[in-house]
Amino acid sequence: MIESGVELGERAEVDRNEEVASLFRRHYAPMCRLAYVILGDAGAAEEVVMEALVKTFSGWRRIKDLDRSEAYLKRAVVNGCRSKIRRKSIESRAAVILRSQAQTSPFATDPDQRETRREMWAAIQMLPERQRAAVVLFYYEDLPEAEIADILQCSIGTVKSQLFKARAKLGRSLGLTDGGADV
Amino acid sequence: MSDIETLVRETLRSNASAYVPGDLAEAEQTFVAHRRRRRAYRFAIAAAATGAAAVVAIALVSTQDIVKQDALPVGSQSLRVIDTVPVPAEPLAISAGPPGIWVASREAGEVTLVGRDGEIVRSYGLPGASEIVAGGARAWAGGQSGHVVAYDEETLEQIDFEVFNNMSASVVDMAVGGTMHGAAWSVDSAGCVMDLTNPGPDFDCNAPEGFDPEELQPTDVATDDDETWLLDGEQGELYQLRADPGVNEGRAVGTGPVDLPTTPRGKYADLLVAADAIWVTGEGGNMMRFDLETGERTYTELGGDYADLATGFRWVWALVGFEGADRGTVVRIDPETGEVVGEELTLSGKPSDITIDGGGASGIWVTLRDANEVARIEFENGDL
Repeated sequence: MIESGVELGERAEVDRNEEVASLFRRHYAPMCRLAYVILGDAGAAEEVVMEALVKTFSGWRRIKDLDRSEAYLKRAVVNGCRSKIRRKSIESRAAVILRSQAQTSPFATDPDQRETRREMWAAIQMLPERQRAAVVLFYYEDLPEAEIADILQCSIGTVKSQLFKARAKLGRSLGLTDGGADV
Repeated sequence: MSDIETLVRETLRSNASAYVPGDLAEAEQTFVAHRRRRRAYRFAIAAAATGAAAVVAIALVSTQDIVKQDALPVGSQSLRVIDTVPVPAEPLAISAGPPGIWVASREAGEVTLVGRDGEIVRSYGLPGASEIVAGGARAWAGGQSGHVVAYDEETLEQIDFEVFNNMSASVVDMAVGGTMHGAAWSVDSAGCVMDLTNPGPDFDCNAPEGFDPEELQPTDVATDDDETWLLDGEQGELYQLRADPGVNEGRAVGTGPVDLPTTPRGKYADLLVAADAIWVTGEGGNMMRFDLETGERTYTELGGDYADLATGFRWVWALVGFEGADRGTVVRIDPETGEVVGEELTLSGKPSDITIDGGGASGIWVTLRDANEVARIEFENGDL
């Protein structure tokens, strides 16, 4: 049976929707976790991820480019998080820190270790948005510097300097030295 | 790996593991609904404007009942002025943001935030204020001598860093990027192009790399989520810009004039990126729509001598002006075809700029330069 143009269009649309739904299911939780470790706020993280998913998968041009969807999405999530951070006032940032203290992972059973991680988590949340994004992409996502530079729209040198500054700041916050890490 | 690096890694991973995202099925439902709604309007516009049976059929299959809910009002609804608000002298530029409507008044040297109820919320001094754009939780304003300031839209405090003062001449246009860039672009009459949120290492103004700053006369900059575009209205040339991460941090890098030799041109040329298309207006009220997907160009004569463009409430809008005349018109344009839809609205008081307050849903706002007012506009039936 020969399908009409309309039927072909319908079928293509159904296939596309299924593909997008499958991408949504694959990316939703990992992207939420990425946004969460940048923002330290579950509600805000899910909001940013939903916005990024809808934008990324609503334009025809992007849907045609499904192979690059993860890269698009990661950039949209990170930039969404950075915008969110910029919007927050100092007061609301402090509130996030307070909330984050209550959400510290239960997996560190040693009280000293738990306390150190709680302090580190709070210190990460106080980093400027670009340093925070660089730290998360490097230490949590394990991305190479070139890929981080692409996501943050800056040079590799800037990524290195942002990581260096972030480590120095985190070290000072916790009274630790960097130990000459070479990144 | 140092102690700090180990601790950072462990901290991030343990916190990520402890966090459980919300219910996936519920999130997927929300996602599908949002996505359908975003896409439905494109189909609805195409169907309503062309009446093509195949498009209608696909639209109905794709969007089902959502098309019926979101179908665009097409036809003869008339626009009307709901309200006018007095503002400081010579309002030249206007932009809608979360806290209200930002207005730049050149002669008074003030930036004013007007609430949606028509009350003045706050005023700020800025000599020669002539440009304003809101986005990314900030409003950015340009004044004389390349002076640029930003206002925090949450606290309403002025953010005034030294870097913002480095535009080399009068700011001619500004634009705020979307999710992909999150940048605030500014161009001035001396060919300076700067991403204000990500300036170069020495905070220098940069012409797009590879192009002679002496020859570049940018008249407009526009962005959407993916692209930033720069228009040299005098030459009728369009440049696509990117921040090149491998070469110069934050510098505007040109990828060359886009091959649009018949681009409308003129010193009052305007540029808009919306609905997967680039829109350019030039002298004589000519408008070009360049489809970014198909490469198709369509031309519309809007009348008048020049036209400013804006988008919102699912339409593209043009404020058409007339040299030496007091009047101007607000025109509604189909974003898919570039055709004028419905009746135009004529305004007096030398209309000079237009913004659409889609986020705040308060309507269309236009500055009336000689009347020292801003006008709020909507359809007569109250539906935008």
